[in-house]
Order: sequence, then structure tokens, then C-alpha cells
Amino acid sequence: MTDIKRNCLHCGTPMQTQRSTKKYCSDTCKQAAFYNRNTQPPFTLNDKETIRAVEFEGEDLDEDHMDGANTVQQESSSDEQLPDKIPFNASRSVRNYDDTEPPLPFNVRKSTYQQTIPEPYHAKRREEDNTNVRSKRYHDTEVEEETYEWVRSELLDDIADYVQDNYGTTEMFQYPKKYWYGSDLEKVKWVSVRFLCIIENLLHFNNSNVDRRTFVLLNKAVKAMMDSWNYKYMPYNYPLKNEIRQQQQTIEKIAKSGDRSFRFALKKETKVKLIALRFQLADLVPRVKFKSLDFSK
Amino acid sequence: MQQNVTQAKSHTVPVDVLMDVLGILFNNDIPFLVDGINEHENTLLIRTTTNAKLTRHKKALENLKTLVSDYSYYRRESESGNFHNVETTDRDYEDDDE
Repeated sequence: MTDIKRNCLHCGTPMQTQRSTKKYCSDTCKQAAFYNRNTQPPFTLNDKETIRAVEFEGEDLDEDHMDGANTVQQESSSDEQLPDKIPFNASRSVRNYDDTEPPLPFNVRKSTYQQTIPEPYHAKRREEDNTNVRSKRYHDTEVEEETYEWVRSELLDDIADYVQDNYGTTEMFQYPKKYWYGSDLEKVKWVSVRFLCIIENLLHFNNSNVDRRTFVLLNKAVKAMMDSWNYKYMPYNYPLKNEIRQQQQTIEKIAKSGDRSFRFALKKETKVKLIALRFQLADLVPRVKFKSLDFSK
Repeated sequence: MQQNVTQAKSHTVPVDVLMDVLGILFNNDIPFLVDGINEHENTLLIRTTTNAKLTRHKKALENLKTLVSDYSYYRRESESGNFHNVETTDRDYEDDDE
């Protein structure tokens, strides 16, 4: 696998990664960034420091770059046409924006990007992108090299966003002993391993012809799990209770449909959610075969 | 005159990122062949033939590998395609009767 060099978005330390969506150098930075994000109030464009921090979040600023940073800061503060306030979700979009990533010597394209930033502000950012130091840094190579439009997978980006948005859950499964201990942890693991198995099944059946009996069986399994003592006396802070209930309702609905066999296909957002949940749960429990599990302990 | 140096490589591509991978191959005029389909794992074995001297082809292959390795990361798979945190990889749900 090829290593990608980039800077941590929180502390700015240079790092090597095999994953193009990796943003932080360590769990500590990821956690710190998560807490920062959750404690930051919605900012206004008049707040120079905040804007500057967002623009250059985690980037190493040497002398050359500092010139560019000042330019951006001045431009941001002098623009009177910009809206006074940005909605809270817009601030998130700014942080996740492609240009917070380390620069690439080629263009980056995401096929359909949901723009949540008001147009004047977004237009302003596009203008800055063309003038700031990051473009200049690779100016020479851009001219010399053949232009390549880097393709990003919308599905992978959505999964990465989901995992990042639900970092609290990821952290709970990564460090379960911080949140549960003793019999509580056992219950959490008991339910999680079964829910992971259900998720694996749903993803496995995606885009294939499925016998209705298979869903009847799945429905029975989930119901048995929800009726179990382990589920009923689950710790109050288990983050996936609603998800389990929601999936059970969906499976039950399909199991009660009249067709003997049908083509099963997950909606894109459901698929993203299930892949992200599988990723989160895999930190806590292993994948186990459906037949090997007793759902009604 | 630039010499053509062709390179054949095989890639295991998950169906979930297949459209992105095909987009890369078509947009960069990379000839490819589907060597096999693994329905159980939902993957395709694709053999690409690239010109090693073309930067565009190199970047396209790098792009393809990045997509596949990112997907493997979320599948919790190692490079060789094995689950690293798994007790049983063999799944046979269809045999379960009511």
C-alpha cells in the first residue's frame, strides 16, 4: 500500500498514512479535535481569529505560508458582502472541506458535493483557493505534470463523515473499559456481537435475490435478542439501542411482506450507516457466524 | 519517439467502489478485463493494462489503489484481503432453515 504524507488537522504534525481520509495523527488528536468541535460555538465571519484557525487548521505555517495566511485573513475581514453569521452546520462543512486536506499536485473531484455553505461565502472561498499559498506551492509541478483529476468515492467520503460525526460511539467501542465494566461490559459485548452479525447479513444480502424466509429468520433472531435479559438490562449509555430498534422494525416489515422471494437493496444512506456501524462495532467484538450465535440467551 | 511500456496488474475491486473504479479506467483510457467475480465476497478481479511511462496512468492506478485500500480499511481487512479481527470468515446464511 502507498503511504500518503500529510499534516495532522489538529496538531499539524507531519504524518504518513495509508488511508486518504485519515485526518489526525493519533487518537489523542482525534479526540481533542472532537471535543473542540463539540465545544465550539457557531462563529461569525467577523471573528478573525476563528476564520483564520479554520482556514489553516492543522497546517504547518512556515514563513512563506504566513504571508498567504495574512492575505486570507485580510480578505476575510474586509469582505462586507459576506453574511454576518453562518449556520452551525456550515461551520462543520468548512472544516471538512477538501482544501483543509494537504495539497495535491492535481485536481480533486468529488462527484456530487452537497454544498451547505451560503453561496457568497463559498464563492469567496473559491476565490481564495486560487490565490492562497497552497496553490502556489505546487504551481511549477502543475504546469509540468499532466493534469489528472483525482476521483474520490462519494460512498467512502460519506462513511468517513458518518464515523467522524459519531466519533463518540467510535470512542466508546474503542475504549469500552472507560465506559462499562464487569457485567455491563459483558452485556454490551453480547448484544454488539449479535448486532454486528445482523449488519453483516444485511450488507451481504444487498443487491441480491433473497428468500423471504431468510428475513423471517433474521427477524426472529433480532426479536429474541431484544427480548433477552442482556438487552433489557443493557447499560443506559449504550449508543446503538435506537439503531437496533430501527433495524428490527425494518427487518420485520420485510419479513411480513407477501413476496416469496424478492430483490433486496439497501438505500445509499442506510448502506453508509451500516458500513460505518460495522466499522465501529468491529473495534469491540469479532465477526461471528450467524449459525454459531444464540440470540435468545 | 516515446516507447510504450505496458504493465499488466490485477486488482480486487469491491462492488461498492466499482463505479468509481470504472470511472477512473474509462476516463483515462486504461484497457481492462474482468478476470473473475466473487459473489460471496462481492468483489471483482480486474486486470488493467497501463503504460508505465504515462503519468496519467500512474496517477490513475494510484487513485484506484487508494479507493480499494480505503474501502478495505472500513471493512477492517488487511491488504491481503483477510479480516484481521475475525473468528470465522466463512458465512453460509442461506443454509439456515426456519
